[in-house]
Amino acid sequence: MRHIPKLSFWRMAGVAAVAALFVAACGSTTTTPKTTSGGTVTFAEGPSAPPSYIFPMASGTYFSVTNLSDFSQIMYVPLFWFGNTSSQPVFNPALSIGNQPTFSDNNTVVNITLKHWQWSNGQPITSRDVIFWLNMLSAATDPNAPAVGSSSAPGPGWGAAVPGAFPQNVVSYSATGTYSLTMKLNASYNPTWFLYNELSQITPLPQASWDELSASGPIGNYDASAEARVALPNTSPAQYVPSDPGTGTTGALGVAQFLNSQSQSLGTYQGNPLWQVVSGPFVLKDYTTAGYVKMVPNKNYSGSPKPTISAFVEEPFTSDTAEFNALKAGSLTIGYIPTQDITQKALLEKSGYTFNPWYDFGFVYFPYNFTEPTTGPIMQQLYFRQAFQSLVNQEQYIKDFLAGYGVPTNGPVPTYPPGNPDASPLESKGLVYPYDPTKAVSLLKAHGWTVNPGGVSTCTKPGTAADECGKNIAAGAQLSFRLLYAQGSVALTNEMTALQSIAQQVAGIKLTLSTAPFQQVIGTAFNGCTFSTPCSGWDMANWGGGWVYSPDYFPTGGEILGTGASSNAGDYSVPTNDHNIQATHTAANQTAELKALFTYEDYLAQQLPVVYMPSGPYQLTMYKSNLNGLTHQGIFDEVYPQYYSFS
Amino acid sequence: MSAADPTANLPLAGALPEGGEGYRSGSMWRLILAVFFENRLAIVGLGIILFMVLFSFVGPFIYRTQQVFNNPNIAHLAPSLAHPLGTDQVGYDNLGRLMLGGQSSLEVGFAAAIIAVLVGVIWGAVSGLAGGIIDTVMMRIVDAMLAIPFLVALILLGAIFTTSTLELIVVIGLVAWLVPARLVRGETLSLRVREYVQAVRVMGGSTRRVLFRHIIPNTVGVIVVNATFQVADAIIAVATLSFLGIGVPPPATNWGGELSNGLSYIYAGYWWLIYPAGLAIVLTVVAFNFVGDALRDALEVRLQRR
Amino acid sequence: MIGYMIRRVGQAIVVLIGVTIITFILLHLLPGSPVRAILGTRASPSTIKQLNAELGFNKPLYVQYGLWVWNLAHFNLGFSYKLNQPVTALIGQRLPKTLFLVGSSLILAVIIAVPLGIWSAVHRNRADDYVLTGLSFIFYSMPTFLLGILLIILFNQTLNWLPFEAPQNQTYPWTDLNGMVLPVMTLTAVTVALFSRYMRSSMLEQMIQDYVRTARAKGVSNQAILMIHVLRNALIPVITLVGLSIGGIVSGAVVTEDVFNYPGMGLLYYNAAVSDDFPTLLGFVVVVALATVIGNLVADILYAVADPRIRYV
Repeated sequence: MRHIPKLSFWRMAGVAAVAALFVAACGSTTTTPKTTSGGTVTFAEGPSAPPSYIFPMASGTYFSVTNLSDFSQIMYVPLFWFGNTSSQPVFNPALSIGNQPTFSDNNTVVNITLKHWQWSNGQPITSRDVIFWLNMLSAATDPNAPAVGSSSAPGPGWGAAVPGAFPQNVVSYSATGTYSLTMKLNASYNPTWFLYNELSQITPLPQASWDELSASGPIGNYDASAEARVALPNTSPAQYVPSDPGTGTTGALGVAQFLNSQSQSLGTYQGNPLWQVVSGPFVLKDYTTAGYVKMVPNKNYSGSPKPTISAFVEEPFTSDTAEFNALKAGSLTIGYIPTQDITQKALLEKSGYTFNPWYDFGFVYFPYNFTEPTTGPIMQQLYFRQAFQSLVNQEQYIKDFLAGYGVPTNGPVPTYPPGNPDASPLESKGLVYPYDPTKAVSLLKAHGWTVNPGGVSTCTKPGTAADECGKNIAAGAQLSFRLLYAQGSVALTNEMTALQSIAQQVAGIKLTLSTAPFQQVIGTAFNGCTFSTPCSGWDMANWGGGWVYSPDYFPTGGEILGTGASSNAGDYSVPTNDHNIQATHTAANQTAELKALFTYEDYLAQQLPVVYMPSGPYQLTMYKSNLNGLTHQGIFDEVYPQYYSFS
Repeated sequence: MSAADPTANLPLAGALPEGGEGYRSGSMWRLILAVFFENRLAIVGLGIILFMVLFSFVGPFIYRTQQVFNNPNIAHLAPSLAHPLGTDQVGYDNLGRLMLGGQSSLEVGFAAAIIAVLVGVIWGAVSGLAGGIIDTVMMRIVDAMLAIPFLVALILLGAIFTTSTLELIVVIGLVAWLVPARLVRGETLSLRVREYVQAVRVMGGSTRRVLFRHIIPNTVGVIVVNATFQVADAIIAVATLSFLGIGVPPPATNWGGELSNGLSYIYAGYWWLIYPAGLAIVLTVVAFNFVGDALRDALEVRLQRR
Repeated sequence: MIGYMIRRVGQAIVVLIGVTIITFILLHLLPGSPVRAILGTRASPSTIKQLNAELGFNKPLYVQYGLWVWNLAHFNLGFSYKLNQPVTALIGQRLPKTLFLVGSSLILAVIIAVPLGIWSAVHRNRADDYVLTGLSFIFYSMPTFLLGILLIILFNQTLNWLPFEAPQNQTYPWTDLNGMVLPVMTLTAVTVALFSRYMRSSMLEQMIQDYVRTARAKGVSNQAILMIHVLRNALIPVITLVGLSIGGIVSGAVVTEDVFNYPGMGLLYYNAAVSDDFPTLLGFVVVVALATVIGNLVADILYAVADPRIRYV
C-alpha cells in the first residue's frame, strides 16, 4: 500500500530476535506503570498525506495506509483483524468482529460467526451488515457493472480487488442466523490463504443506517439487488458476479456510489450523521479539509480494551521538515524523525521522547523489465541477475544511507519481524546473494562476457551453451541499462549513486540513471508491460519502495510476481513460480501450506525475479515517554489508539 | 527574484533601444569598452567569472580527485589536509566535486543562454520583420508562454522530462527564449522602417539579407546584455530546481545539486557541504549581473551618442 | 485610448486561451500512464481501463480539451484525486494564504525599495550607493531558497527569535504573524533587490532629461526638482514593473512556501507536480496565468494613462 519507506533499524535478524525476547520478558515481569485516563494523543500524519477518504471501501485512488490503516479502520473494524500489539503479522481474533472462520466440504465452504458486538448507536452488528459489504463489493468490482464515476469524481471500487479472486471466487453467500453466515467457494482453497488474503478484505458496515440512495432517501434493502450471482462465461473455475449489480442510482451499486460520493465531500465529514455510526473504538469528531482529524472514544465500543484517552488527534504536515519542527517543539505525542535528521535523536530523547522505529510487513525491490526487446534477454539470464544482485551492497546502504536502521531483503517474504513463521529457513539465514563484486565479475566472465571494468562489458561468446551469453544475445551486446528512479529521497539517491558507481567500476555494467517524480516512475513501470505488448522505455525502475502485504496478509506474492498479475511490473513469467504460487493458494492443511510457501519463497530468493534492496522502517517513530501502549507498532501500518494511555 | 523573474531581463523602460544605424565605427566600440571598464564592479565581475572558469575547468588538472567512482566508506568526512573541503554523502572529495559541479553549472548557464538567445533572436526578428498576422500570432504565442511564470513552467517541464544535464539545458532554453524574442522584435520594428533598410529593400535585397545583414547585427548590443543575464538566471534556475528535487541524476552534478544536497543534512552540521557551493553560486551570479549591468550602461552610451 | 484598451483586453483573452492550450498539451506529454499514477501499483488492467474511460483519457485530445474548457467556463477546474477535493475548493483554501504572503511582501517591497532607489540615485557612485547597490545585487543573485534557509539559520537556529516555519493549521495566516515574519522577509528581500535597482536606474534616467536642466536653469531648487518632477516620472516605470513582476513574485512564492512549509498555492502546485495531479496543475497554471495577464494589462493601461506620449503599435 505504501511505497516509500522511511527507514530502518535491524542490523541483523539475530540481534532483533534477542531484542524481541528481551522486551517480551520485560513485559511479563515489570509492574505496569500507573496510568491516568484522559489526555489527548496527537499523531503526526505523513508529509502531504492527510487522510481524505472515510468510506472503508476505498477504490484504487484512495487505497492507502493513510486512508485505511490510520483512519477509517480505527472507526470501522474489519471482520477479521490482522496484526497485534506484539507486531506479529498474524490473525488477531481478540480484536475482530468475527470468530475464527471454519472451513468444510474439502475447504469449499466457509462458515463465519460473529461476536455479539454493537454499533455506536446501540444496534447489533449482524450477518446482514457483512452481507451489506459483500453486496456492495460484488457490485463495485463487477466487470459488467455500468461505469459510475465521472471526470469530476471516480466511482466506487475496491483497491485490493484482483480479477477472478475475491469476491468472484465465491459462488454464493447467505446468512444462516443473526450472527452467522456461510459462503460457497468455486474451488477448494487453502484456509489460511483464504482467510488472510480474501476474507481479510471484509468490513461490516451499518446496513440499517447506510442502505440508502441519497442523503434524504429512506433506508431500504437496495443492496440486495447484488445477492443473486451468475457465473462469468469462459472462466475456470467459474467466477461469479451479481446478476444485477445495479446502476449509479439504483441497487447495490447505487448505494456504494452514494456512500462514495458522501466520502468525496470532505467538507461534510464533520457532522455527517452517516459517519457517526461506527464499530471501532473511536468516532470522528472534527475534520478539516486540510486533514486535521480529531477522534473521540466510541462509548458503545464492544471490543476490548476500551479507549482511555479522551481524544486521538491526527495532525497534517506539508513536509517532513514541518513535522520535525513540531516534534522539536514538543507539540506531538507520536511523530517521527526524518532519516536525514537522525543526528537529532539524542536531543529529542533528552527532551522527553522515546525512539522506536516502526517496521511493516513488506519487502523492498525494484523490477527488471523483462519485456525490453534489447536488454530483456540479458536480464532474463539468471547468471546476470545473480551478478547484478552481488553488486548491491545492502549492508553498506543500511549503514551509510539508512542511518543504520534497515533490514536486508533476502527474498519476497519479509524476515521481519524476527521469528515470523512465513520466512523460510533459507531466507532467515541471511542474504542468498551477498555483496561480492568478485563473484559478479566471474559470473559474467564464465558466461561469455568480456568484462571491461570502468567501461562497458560486451558479449564476445554469443550462443546458448552454458558458457555463452544466452538466447537472443548477439555478439557485441553491451551491459548498458537505463535505471529510472524516484527523485526526492536522499537515501534512494545515495543508494543509486553507489550502485551505479560500483557496477561500472568493477563489472563494466553501465547504468544510465534518470529521475522522475514517484508517481511517474510508477506510471512507467506499471504500464502493462507484457511479452505481447513489450515496453521499451525502461530497463529497470525504482520507485524507492516495494510491496507491503496488506490486505494480502499471507505473503504469497501472487499479485506481484505471478504471470499476468496486475502488479507484475516487468512481466516476470516463469511456470515453476506460477505453480508454486498456486500451491500456496490451494494447500489443504497447515503443513502443506507452510511447505508450499517455503518452496515458493526459496525459489524466488534464488531466482532473483527483481533486485532486492534493503528495507527501511515505515517511520522512525518518536513518542512522548509518558505515553504507554506503543512498545510495538502495527506491522501492517495500523495504529491502536485504544491501547494508549498516559502515565 | 533571481531566476524567477522574466522581467528581470528587460532593459529599463527608459533604456529601451530605439534602433541602431548599423554603426561600425571603431571609435564607438572603443567608447563602449571604455565606459564598460570604467565600471569597477564590471571588472570585479569579469575577474570572478574568469576565476570560476579556471577553477572549474583547469582546477581538476591541478587538484586531481576520483570523481567517477565513489566510496561511501569515506562519506561525510570533515575538512582535513587530505580533503580540504571534506567529503560528501557518498564519499566524493568535495573540493573536486565543486570543480566538476562548476563545469556543469557554467555549461548549463552558457548553453541555455545561447539556445535562448538564438531562438529568441530568430523568432523576434522574423516576427518583427514579417508584421501583420504572422507577427500577431507569433507574439501572442510568446505572450501566452510568458504568462506562465518562469519557475512554474520549469517545475512543470521538470516533472514531464526526466532530467539530465542536456535536458536541463533544453528545458531552461525552452522557457528563457521568450524575453529575447520580445526585445529583438521591438528592435526590429524600429529598424525596419529606417531609411537604409528601406533602401536595401527597394534595391531588391532579399528578406533574408535584410534579416541577417542588417537587422540582427544591429540588435547585438541588446542580445549580449540579455545573454549575460540569461547565464545568471540559468545558474539560479538549476539550483532552485535541484532544491525542489528536480536535479540531474548522478554521476552528473552541479552546484545547485551539491547545495541542495548539503541542505538536506542541515541539522547534521555538515557545513562544508553547504557554504562552498552556496558561495560559488552567489558569486558567479553576482558576477554575471555586474557584467550585464555594466554592458547595459555602456550600450546606453552608444544610444545617447547617436 | 478606449480603442487601445479594448484591443489590449482582447489580446489578453487570446493570450489566456493560448496558455490553456499550451499547458494542456504539455501535461499530456507526461510519460507513463496517468491513470496508473492515480491508482498506484495495485490496480488491475480492468480498473485502469475503467478509470481511463471515466476520466475521458480514451477520447481524442481535442475532445478532452473541449470538455476541460467547457468545465472551466463553469468554474469547474476538475477534481484532485490525490486530495479528494475539487480543485476550485483547494484553490479557495490556499489562495488567501498566498495572497497574504505575496501582497504583504509586495507592499513592503515597494515601501522599502522606492526610498532606497532614490537614495542610491541621488548619492550615485558614493560609498552608500555602492553598499546599497552591492547588497541589492547580492540579494538579487541569491537563490530564494538559500536566502530563506540562511534566515532560518540566523533567526531560528542561532538567535531563536522566530519560528522556522509558517503557520500550519490556521485558516487565516494573520492569526499567527510571528510565523509569517521570515517568509515575508524572504520574499520581500528578493523583491526589494529587484525594485530598488529599477528605481535607481529610473531616477538616473530622469535626472539627465532636458526638463530637469530647464527647471534648474529657471532656478527651481534641487529638492523640488527631485521630488516633484523627477520622482513622478521615475515612478511610472516602477509602477509598471510591479504589474509585470507578478509572475516572478509567484515563482518566488512557490520556493518560499516550500522552504517555510506554508500551505499556500505554491506548495499545492509543487506537490501536484511531483504527484502527477493533473487537474490541480492545470488549475494552478490557469489561475497564475490569469493573475499575470491581468497584472500586465493593468500595468500597460496605467502606463498609458500616466504617460500620454506613449504611442501604440
